[in-house]
Amino acid sequence: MQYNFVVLLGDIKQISAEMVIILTIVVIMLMDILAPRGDKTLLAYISLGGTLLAALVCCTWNGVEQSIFSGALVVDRFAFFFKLMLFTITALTQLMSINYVKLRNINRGEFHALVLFATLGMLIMVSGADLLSIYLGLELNAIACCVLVAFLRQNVKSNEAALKYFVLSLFSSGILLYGISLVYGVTGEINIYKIARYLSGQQNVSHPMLHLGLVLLVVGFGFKVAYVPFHMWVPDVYEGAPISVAAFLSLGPKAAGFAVLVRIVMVAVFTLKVEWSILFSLLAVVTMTLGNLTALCQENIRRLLAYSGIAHVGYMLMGLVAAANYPQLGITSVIFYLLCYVFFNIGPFGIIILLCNKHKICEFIGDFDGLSVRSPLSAFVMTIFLLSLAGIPPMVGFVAKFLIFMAAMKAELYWLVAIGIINSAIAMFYYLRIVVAMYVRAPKPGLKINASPSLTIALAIMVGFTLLMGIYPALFIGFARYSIATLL
Amino acid sequence: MISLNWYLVVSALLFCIGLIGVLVKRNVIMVFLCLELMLNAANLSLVAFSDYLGNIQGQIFTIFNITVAAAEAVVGLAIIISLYRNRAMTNVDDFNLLKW
Repeated sequence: MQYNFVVLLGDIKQISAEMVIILTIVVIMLMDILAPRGDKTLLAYISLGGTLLAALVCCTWNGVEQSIFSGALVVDRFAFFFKLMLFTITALTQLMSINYVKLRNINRGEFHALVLFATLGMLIMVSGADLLSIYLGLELNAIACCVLVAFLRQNVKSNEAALKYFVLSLFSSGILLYGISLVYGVTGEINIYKIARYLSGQQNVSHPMLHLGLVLLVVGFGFKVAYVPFHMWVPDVYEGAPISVAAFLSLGPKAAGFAVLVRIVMVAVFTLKVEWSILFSLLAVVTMTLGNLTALCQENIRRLLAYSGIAHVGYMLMGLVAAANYPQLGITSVIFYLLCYVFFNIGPFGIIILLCNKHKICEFIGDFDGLSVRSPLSAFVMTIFLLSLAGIPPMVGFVAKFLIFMAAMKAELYWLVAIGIINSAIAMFYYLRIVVAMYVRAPKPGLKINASPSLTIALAIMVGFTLLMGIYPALFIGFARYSIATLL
Repeated sequence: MISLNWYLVVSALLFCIGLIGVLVKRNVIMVFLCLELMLNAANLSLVAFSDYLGNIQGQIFTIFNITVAAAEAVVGLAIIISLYRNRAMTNVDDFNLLKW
């Protein structure tokens, strides 16, 4: 097909949500320079408004299935699902940052523009249909995130976290690129759908170079998704980065990374499913066990959340393994897990922001002693999030875990389910440890709540969805099932 | 005419040198250079494959790649400079505030 101006305009119309984000970034950066010095809270509201507008625009394209820009990007329901999820994550991060940014003296214009840049990178990742656009999206996200982690310039911990994040992210991009070059060498294609077509046309797909390329790809994305052994950056970055950035990193790149991983393993190399299902089942076991065992001995809540996040990735990988035999069931459970994980994983970071002031960050479990006396409501909200993370029935965390285990049972991965259940039991201990600290121990002096309207709204949304999705999960499971219908 | 295999051997060697360098070098700047070496190894193999297969995609990929590597370098050096201002050292073993 000849590529002319009319086709180009049509393609640009399909990415109007991304265009809205780009325009918002430009407006924020210009206003940051042009506006007089002083309070620039307006910029935060502009970026929030831009995100919501982009989400609205994105909704108008729901149901369209089209490949655009000569097959570089694809607009489909799967991408739509993840785009909505990313907009939610970004909006929650921005709501949580509005007060926190002022507290830590962060330059507002740059901060909000970079959050949007990182979001833009992830949007490209989830709709990327060839390895080049996926790689570019990934790098845009990684570069923006590096700067976000380093934002507390005077703080040595933030510097160190940024250095570790940067070195490991470049390291993994190098490995990813080498993997891409090998896959390209064998198949002669960088488009995911063309790779799939090439592989399904071959008699014998077991080419050693292709296997090596695939392993390197899995390693490269492993950094984004944070499974063992590429998880080392997670706890350090969560501890060193500004708290709202840690909340953003705990979900955004993970969700986008999973979207890409699903697209690659389910579409491009589905013919190699025996190989990758073995690889992912081993990674799942190691990831959840190591994550949970290390989380047991953490005193810092941010590090605890980091290791618990690693363990959750292990559960999600279980769903991916099940998808080798039951694609529908497996992928639905994985993306539903990610969707509800948005709400109850950003939540605890919100509570940490709620408790921090100019001089002190309450990030140790000891700092939460007796929170129920000081502020019953915030202790209750934190308890809801923790119970959901632990997977206790009325909360959505239970439904999500149940779906994953059910998919794995159906695929007859009994040993994997057994290890998963033992791990959930271990995880119960460290989540309940925080609950015990809040409700049983005597309160410490100096614990103050620093609530702002925006943070309260963000927390209310997250609690609301955690409860709503737990009570009425069918609606959201239906949405997840709908969004993968055309992918598989 | 140099065959594809030689290019691949060189690129694999470069990649391994970079990989090992990242793991054993102690100076941040050296680590950073080894990372760049890894990226360039991938570039070399992309271009070699592109020539061998007679399709242009690998070369396009490489051009984008060089641009991305430049952007990464800017951010990376900025982070190293801000670290140096606060701590006045460049040995990776000394950056041990965050562990476990």
